[in-house]
Amino acid sequence: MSGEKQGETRKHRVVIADDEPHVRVFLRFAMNNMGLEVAGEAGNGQEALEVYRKLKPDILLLDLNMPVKTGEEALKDVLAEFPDAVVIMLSSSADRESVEACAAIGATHYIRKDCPFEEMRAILYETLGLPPQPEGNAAS
Amino acid sequence: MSDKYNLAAMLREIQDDEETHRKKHQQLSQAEIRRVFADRKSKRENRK
Repeated sequence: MSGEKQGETRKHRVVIADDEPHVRVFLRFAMNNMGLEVAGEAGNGQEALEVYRKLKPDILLLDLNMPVKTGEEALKDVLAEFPDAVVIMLSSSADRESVEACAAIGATHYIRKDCPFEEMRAILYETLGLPPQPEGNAAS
Repeated sequence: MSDKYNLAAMLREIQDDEETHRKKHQQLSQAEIRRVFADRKSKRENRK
């Protein structure tokens, strides 16, 4: 049931944008564990925009510090084209200035990369309107 | 006398700048980030 709409079999689709391959591997594992489908991946901000256009996922997980186009620039571009896009920023640094800038542009949330798995799941489920899972209960 | 006051004003300005810089670059916990987004959401909803 986790990650799926009630009465439907469709899993919620996520696109992961991060320039570090090992972070994408970790996030893919985490998303699968939450019962979410990783529809696509991107290695920079420009690719994130292109993959978003093509796949229109339920959530775009967007790293802040990326080459070619930063996460903040990609966030602006995605929201300019798709004002209803749900974009969650990811970063290893969470200084007030960056967090507030992303919130002002229209990001739905901001997750620190060192955030515990349960907290990350709680944010994603809340964003998707899914019921919270009890602690330690991994989705199949 | 006025130099003394100017120095005090300059010192206050420097302290204010440092405080602004510190606040801008302060690392937020996930709970604080949640609060930033919750505040923004409620402000948006109040404007509607």
